Amino acid sequence: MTSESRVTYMPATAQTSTSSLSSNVKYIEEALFNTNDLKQRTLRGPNTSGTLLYLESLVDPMLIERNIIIPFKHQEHKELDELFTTLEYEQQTDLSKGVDGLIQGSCVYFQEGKPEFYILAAPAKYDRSITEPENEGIIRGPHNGFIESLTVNLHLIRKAINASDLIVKYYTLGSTAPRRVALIYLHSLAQPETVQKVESRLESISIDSVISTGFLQENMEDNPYSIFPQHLNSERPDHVSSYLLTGKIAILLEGDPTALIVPASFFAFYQTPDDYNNRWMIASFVRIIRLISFITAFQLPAIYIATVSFHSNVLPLQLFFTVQGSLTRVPFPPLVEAMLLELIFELLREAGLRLPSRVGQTIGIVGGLVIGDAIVKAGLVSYTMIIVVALTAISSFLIPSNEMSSSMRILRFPLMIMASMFGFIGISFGLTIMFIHLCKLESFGKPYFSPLAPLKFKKLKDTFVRFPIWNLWKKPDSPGKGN
Amino acid sequence: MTRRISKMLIVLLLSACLTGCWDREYLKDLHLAYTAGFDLTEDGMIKETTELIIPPESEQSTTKNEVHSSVGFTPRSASDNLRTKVRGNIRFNKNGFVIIGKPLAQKGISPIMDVNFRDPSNPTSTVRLIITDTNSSDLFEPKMVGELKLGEFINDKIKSLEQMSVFFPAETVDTVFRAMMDPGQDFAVPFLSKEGDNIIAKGVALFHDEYYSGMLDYEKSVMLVLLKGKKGNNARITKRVDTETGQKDRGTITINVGRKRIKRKFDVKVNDKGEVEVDLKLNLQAVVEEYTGGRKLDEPEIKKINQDLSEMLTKDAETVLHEIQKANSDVLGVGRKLIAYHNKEWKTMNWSEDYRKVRFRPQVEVNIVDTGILQ
Repeated sequence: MTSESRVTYMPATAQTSTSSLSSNVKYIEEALFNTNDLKQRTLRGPNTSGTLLYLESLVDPMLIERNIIIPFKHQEHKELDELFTTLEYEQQTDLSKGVDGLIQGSCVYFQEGKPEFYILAAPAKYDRSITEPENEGIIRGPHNGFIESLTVNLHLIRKAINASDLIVKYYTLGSTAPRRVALIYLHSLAQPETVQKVESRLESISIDSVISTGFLQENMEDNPYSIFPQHLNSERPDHVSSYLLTGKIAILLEGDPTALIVPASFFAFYQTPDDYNNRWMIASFVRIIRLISFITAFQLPAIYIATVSFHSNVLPLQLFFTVQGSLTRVPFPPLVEAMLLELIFELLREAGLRLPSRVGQTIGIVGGLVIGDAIVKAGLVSYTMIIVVALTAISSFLIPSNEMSSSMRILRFPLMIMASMFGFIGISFGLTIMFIHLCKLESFGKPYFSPLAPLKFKKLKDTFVRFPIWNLWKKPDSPGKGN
Repeated sequence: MTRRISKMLIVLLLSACLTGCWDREYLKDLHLAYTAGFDLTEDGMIKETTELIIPPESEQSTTKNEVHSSVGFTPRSASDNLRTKVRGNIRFNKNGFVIIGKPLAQKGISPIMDVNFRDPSNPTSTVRLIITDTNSSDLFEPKMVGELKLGEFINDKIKSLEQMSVFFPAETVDTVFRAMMDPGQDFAVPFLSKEGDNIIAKGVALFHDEYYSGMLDYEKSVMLVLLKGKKGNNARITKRVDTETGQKDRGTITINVGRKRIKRKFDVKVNDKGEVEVDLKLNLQAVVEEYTGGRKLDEPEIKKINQDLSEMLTKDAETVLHEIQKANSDVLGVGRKLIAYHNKEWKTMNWSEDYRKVRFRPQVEVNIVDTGILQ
């Protein structure tokens, strides 16, 4: 635990233990506010006796029995230092350290008549099994995923990257409820400046508790007012390790299966591990489809609104009549029609997210059949608008990253308003503003819209399409030249 | 202070939000005029006849069309009068054709076309110009041709004939405008006429400047297109080459020269006497599509047919050139060449007079390159 540095969490003022067992125990009990799950057990051996304190909700009874109680009972005039067989073992006189140990899942053993006490690790591990994350399924490739235990997650990454220069740095964040955060990177590939930037940002976070990686994310973003996510996140060890191998840095949080990957670029949100598991032509095809979805996901409603309210002459004659026919009975202007349908869609989506899966089908029926069909029959919206909104919805689900997909969903509303006010000109102005923002945005000092801005031709090989892997890139040959 | 700023912001926001509204034109409110015809009435007014497309009641039903006409001093005033008669907002933004009656075309088409050129909301590059034999309103008589609406019918007809090199390249309002403004170039547009209930493509109408000045029939139209060095997907010519059989259905040959490349040499010279001489050499590579002659199409026979066809087509070319000269229509753009290469002489010329004096020396050479899978 030498590399661990305490950032915000300051331990209670040092309190030296005394030789009185009862006063020591009393101190601990008071320090933990007489919580009921603090248990004590008196151990009596042939030479010594003492009291073992532990929080029963945090320790593993098996470990205590095997590593502490049994050796204690069978001690053959050994020193206490040699007696306990726990993995982590510490002799202390600072009682506040004892309190820290207890809440991290250790036992504390106080000896009768001696001020030194022992902190003995016996943490309980109730981890769920390593399963594939539900929202990041792939067809081919490893089917494991992170769980809520930092140690297990690190284990998974270490197993995927057997490299001596894979560095893990621990931080502890949160003043009320401290939690461990791990920073992982490959020393030879990650750029030192970026590592430094991430470190300094992590260190500067001052917060009382970190509930999830979302807290870290919001505290570390370059531009918190941007609509675009600046951290890539994943629950897949293979995904994370592939980014580590290109010189990115991963941030993991104890008790959260999501890893944050920085610095992120815009196009990384449109890539999946499947792109590299499939053969390159198929992968390229899928990527192009995905980039088309990028365009349709937020522009299609806007283009439709602009077309029917300003530029109807761009429609071919037959389509003109088809669209006109479906619009004749609709009483609203196109923007209201689109907003109405988008609102219904968002309602259904949110409702579907909250409902348990057994009831979830109901939403499909209510949404698809009842509202979808009835709303047209009632003459509130047109069939073409339903097609447009449905296509938009499907396109937004094509984006592999849930965060980017949500951003795109929000982005289409301002664009729709622009389109309804100024037509195609409005859309082009909206897009111009968006692209200016994208070009200007940075993620941990790295250009977000790279390799398009700044333009790097060589990296385009792995952006819109995916070239064969042997053609893709040369590994950075000198340290620090990665990503 | 903050209140003033917030008031300013609201005003700015509102003005930004509202500026786009006056350009808005909802698709559902539009009534489309697909075909427009213009004629001259007896008292010198413009009569506009329009085919309006009525949007369907629901997606499943089809569109209907209505034909309306009105009279005014200009096309725009006629359209405005039309608006008083029909429902809703007539728009010409999907307009496919402008049909002009021959009597009006003889008096010049530029006043009619002016509104098309002047108002950018009117489409030009996709609108085809058509001349009819009589008044254009006659064409609108049965508003449906079979299952097709009038506009659709004319559209299909013109498009297919363009592919058969009868009218090619397509003359739209755009290209006509350019030719009209160019002193060294005239144009030819499709010429339709009505026979009974049928609408028939008779050939092309030739223009001198902005005035209708003559026409070429169907076969000569193909020749004119070839002389321009252009072709659609097909350009078929049928000739009698073997007269020995004596029967009418025997001895003819149909060649298609649109399949292969056309080599064309177009030389405009001014000789010592100041006369304009034009050498027009055309090398056509023909694919035989039909041959009903008695002899086998072997090497010597092809040679003979080549020679016969070359002679006949050269003669045809001469006739066509003679006719366009008679109509004073510089469709081939001889004047354009003179402006470019013989500018000094051009400045001394009065082209509307001197064009008729141009000496054309056409020479068409036919070369059969393919006889199909039969010999």
